[in-house]
Amino acid sequence: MLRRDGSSLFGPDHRWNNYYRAAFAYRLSEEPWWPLGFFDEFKLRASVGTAGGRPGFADQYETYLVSYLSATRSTLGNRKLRPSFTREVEIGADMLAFGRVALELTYAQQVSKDQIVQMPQPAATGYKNRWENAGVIEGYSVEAALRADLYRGRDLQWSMSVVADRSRNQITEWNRPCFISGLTRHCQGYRRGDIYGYRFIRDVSELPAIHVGSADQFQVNDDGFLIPVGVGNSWRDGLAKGLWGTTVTIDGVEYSWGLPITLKTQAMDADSLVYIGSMAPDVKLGIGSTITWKGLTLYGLVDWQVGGLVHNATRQRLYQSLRAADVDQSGKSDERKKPIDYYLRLGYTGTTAVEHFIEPGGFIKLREVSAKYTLPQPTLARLGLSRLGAERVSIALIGRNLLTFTDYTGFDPEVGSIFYRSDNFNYPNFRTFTSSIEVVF
Amino acid sequence: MHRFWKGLAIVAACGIATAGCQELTVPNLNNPERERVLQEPDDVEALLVGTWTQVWDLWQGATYSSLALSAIADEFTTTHENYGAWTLSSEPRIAFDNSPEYAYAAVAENPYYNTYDALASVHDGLEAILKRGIRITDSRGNDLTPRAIAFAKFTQGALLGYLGLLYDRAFVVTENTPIADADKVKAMKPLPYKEVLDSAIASLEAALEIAATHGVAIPGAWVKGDDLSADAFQRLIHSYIARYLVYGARTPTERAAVDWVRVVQEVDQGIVSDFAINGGQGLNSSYKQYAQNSNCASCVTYYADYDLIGPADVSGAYQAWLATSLMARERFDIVTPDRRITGADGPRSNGTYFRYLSSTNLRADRGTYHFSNYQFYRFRGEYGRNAGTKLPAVTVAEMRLLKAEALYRLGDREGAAALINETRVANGELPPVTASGVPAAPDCVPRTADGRCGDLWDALVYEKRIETAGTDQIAFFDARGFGILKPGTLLHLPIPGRELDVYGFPYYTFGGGGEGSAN
Repeated sequence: MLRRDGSSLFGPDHRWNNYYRAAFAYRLSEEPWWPLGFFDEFKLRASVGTAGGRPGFADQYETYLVSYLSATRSTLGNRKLRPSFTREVEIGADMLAFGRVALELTYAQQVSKDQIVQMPQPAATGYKNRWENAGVIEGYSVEAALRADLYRGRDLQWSMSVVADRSRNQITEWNRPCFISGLTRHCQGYRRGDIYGYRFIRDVSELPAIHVGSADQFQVNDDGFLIPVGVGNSWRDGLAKGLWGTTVTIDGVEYSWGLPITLKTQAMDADSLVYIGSMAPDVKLGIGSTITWKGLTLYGLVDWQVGGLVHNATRQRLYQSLRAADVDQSGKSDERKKPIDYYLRLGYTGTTAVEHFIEPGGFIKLREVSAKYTLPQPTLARLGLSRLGAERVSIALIGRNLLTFTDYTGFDPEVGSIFYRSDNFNYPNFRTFTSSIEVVF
Repeated sequence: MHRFWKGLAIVAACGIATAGCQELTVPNLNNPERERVLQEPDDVEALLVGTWTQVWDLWQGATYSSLALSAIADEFTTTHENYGAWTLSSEPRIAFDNSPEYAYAAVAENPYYNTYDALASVHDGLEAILKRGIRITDSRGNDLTPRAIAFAKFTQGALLGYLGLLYDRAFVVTENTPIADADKVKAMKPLPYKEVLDSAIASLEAALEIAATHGVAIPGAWVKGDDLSADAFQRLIHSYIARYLVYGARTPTERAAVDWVRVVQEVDQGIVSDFAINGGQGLNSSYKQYAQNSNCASCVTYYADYDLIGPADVSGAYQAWLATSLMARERFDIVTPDRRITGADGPRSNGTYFRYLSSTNLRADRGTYHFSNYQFYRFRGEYGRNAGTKLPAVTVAEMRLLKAEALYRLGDREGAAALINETRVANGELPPVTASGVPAAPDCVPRTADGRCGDLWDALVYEKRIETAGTDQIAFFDARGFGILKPGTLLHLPIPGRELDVYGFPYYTFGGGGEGSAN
């Protein structure tokens, strides 16, 4: 298949572009030598195709940005902007056995070139960035879909489906200065969904080398952080010995007593951002089931995300403004009570994520339950609907997002996209109930 | 079958013809394209006038460096990580992290990129006038082009000068720079700051010449202040020249080597009333806003650094604070006869420039040595929002004290003392200083770190810092020339790492005791 696309979003010389797609399938089960007779269908397929990504409306124009007081430049448009170009190679197999079990397996590999990105410009041009085609992102996705008719009677049918998928993406070519944007870092070799942020030391092995001989002056507290306590003290002594708010000098380094210590790397002296983990789930599953009994159809869908992290920015922000539940010390024993400086240390980092607020984002959700009842014809006639011309009448009740099971402490771990889960005072996904009456004339 | 193929061919041909002839050129009606702006005389003038916003933003607007520089000059102090203010002003002072990934890279990047943005607008506007012959006229046909040129050269000089003050090196962009040619721009070399400042002063002198020749007056709306008469405009330019002559010095040695005779000449021809912008015109001062901000729990607040107001203390508390180890320092009350710092009712009453704050919203775990009981409040919290207020940018007091420094360095100590006394006596209600310094008395102000009554130089430094605090962001430029920056403080900023990447230059930086650090 060949396609020629025109778009006014590109530069004048690049408005028309060609794309193609070629697909190949081989139905092995149709061959006379095919030995596995219980397969009604066994098909191998492969395809290769290309597609183009489009820039934003304004990206090709070399304009000023006129605001209230002046005309400024910020980003230079590019009259030579081309589409970003993605080539996907997909291989897969489709199987149907015993007339009732279907399995589809797919592996797809994508390479996206000429990403439409802002490239830094020499400042003397007056522009900070210019829209250019640059960078390569490579990725893959695997997907398996299993569908089975578990029971097929005259009045009762029951079928189930399970869909599982996993994808990963990595920047393999960048060609420009790396930068941090929100939780993620844009740089060659970095994967989509990786989180970078601050981490507090949890183990003596993470202490600066200078403290190699004085590890006993640090202790892991009840929150799991390694804190400076000094000679002869324990993390429990803050209130009893009046140590909160004091400083303790260990190997010439002055620490605030009892407060967690930021992990520092080699990058100069500022607090360092470290890799914390990935927001991308290990695998996502969707498990659906349909039961039909005469005119009644019941459907249920469970979504299951395994792995993946969420930044609970809401909780971090509440630490910063001292409104988080953790800050409330009532009901705690004296040895576990902590001053507000402790919570500020953990949460007060502006928009930068802190490992303390990165939480497991796996969940199981009862995504949908629905019941649909189609009125039998005699009932239609009895209600006089047939006379009005109604051929079929169905009544349905649908509930969505009914239950969530998760270790996440916020409202809903399912925020943003699978590669960027930052819960910053987001509304959770709404639970909805819908009812409908369908009349077909 | 034959008919089928023929029909298909006709349908395909029609389809291709229709699609192929689609007009895919769409004008952008949201924002004006470059060429369009540069065709209309009014637009060219508007482009040039808009660059004043950038000059203002550099000195005290929202470019993210003014407060960090104030904090490292020990003028205003905070523990809020307000664009690196706390990190950079903590002690011992660290090197500036010049990686583009640094959380506070904006400290170096924003003033840099915003300045070049405005310099490019000056370039485009001047090019349209000087090379393409655009003429700007009023409704009666009077030629207003010289006014636009003079104003453009003024903002060009002001912008270049700021680059020369802040960065160790910079690219000089004027109307003659081929900025539209990326390859030529890539081949440019950054110049050392002294040459950048020389070109800034050359632009300001060019502005002066045109302004004088054509008697250029500037509408108040252009500078968001009062109308500038031809005389007032030229005086303002002289004052900027005086600034760039003096504030470019990185060290006391360089400051001593400034052409002080010329500084006197420029100040004498400089402003005779404060140059201020008017509130409610869209320009804000982040510098004045946060310096005077409320100390509510969630507010970002700066306080008056004890190194700014401590020399006014006559109780010995400042000297005791200095003698205490860094992390053990606590805030204290100042006893002083200087009515700018406190009122006559004691240490906890408000002075005319500073107010007393009994509580603090700063964080003890970030070092109580950052704390202070006093806050700058000279403008009563005003920072540009409200109409009817005036926000000074260049003050007569600043110019007078520049001249006092010049006279001091040229050997005229009596003359210097007389100029210092103008504000010292009238605003501070302090006894006058003499050529030999502050008269010995139990309540002499200022006092040195070891508690002695200050000499004439001490009195000059104290007066300059108190009188110019919060007026414009000059504390850092003064502090490096006075030699009072904390050891290890950066003396200037490097070209941002992001820009170094573009040119393929290696990263470098200043501060932390390495190159470009205060001793």
